[in-house]
Amino acid sequence: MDISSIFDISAAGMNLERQRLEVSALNLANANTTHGANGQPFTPLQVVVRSGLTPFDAVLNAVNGGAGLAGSGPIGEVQTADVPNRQVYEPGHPDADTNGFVSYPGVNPVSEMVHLIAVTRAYEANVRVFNAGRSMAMKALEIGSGR
Amino acid sequence: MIDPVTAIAVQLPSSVEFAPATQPPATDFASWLAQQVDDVNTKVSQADMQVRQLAVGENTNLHQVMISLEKAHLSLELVVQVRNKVLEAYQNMMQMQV
Repeated sequence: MDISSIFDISAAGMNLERQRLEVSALNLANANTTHGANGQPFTPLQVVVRSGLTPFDAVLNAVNGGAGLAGSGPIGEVQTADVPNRQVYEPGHPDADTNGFVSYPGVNPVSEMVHLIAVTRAYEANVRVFNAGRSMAMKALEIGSGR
Repeated sequence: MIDPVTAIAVQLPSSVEFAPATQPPATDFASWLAQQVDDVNTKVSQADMQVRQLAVGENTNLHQVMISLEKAHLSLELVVQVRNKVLEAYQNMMQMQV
């Protein structure tokens, strides 16, 4: 059934939002991690999203009349965010440098919270699309049964 | 001198030839229905497997499980509607006066 392509696209969107939430959770959980495996403070991560729609898909969809967009959902790639560390003066800390400053990860809790809201709303939007496709399919199955 | 503007000749074919519609594969209704029932069975068992995996903590992708359940539900609904139509037609045939 061709309505399942809508479900697959929505699923790709939901997967992406889940991945973004995971990255946000990791950033917030490691907001105070001063010492990682490499001895450096935790590097905040971010999800860079690219379109899964390749030019070949575009040509194919044009030929097919725009149908069959499944498998062209967004693809998220986890990358390290290039943000400077937060320097806090704590001379007694084991990870303090010679001047007594400790490098904390540059995680911004405020922007992470805003990010959480955006991720939640985007996930809800994908669920709404899924439900719209589902009710369209259910409505189509009601054709001819109104007697 | 200014040349008169000549009409732009549009190359129209004298008769538009439509490509013949691709013939659907010649399968009878019974095999189609059997295939659909198989399809529904596969989807339901997939959804069942995913629910089991979620219950034991293997599959943590909650929305994937829900989507599989919905797909199974929709496929089942399609087959049920087709069955209703077939039974309706059968009843109509059986009520025919002879």
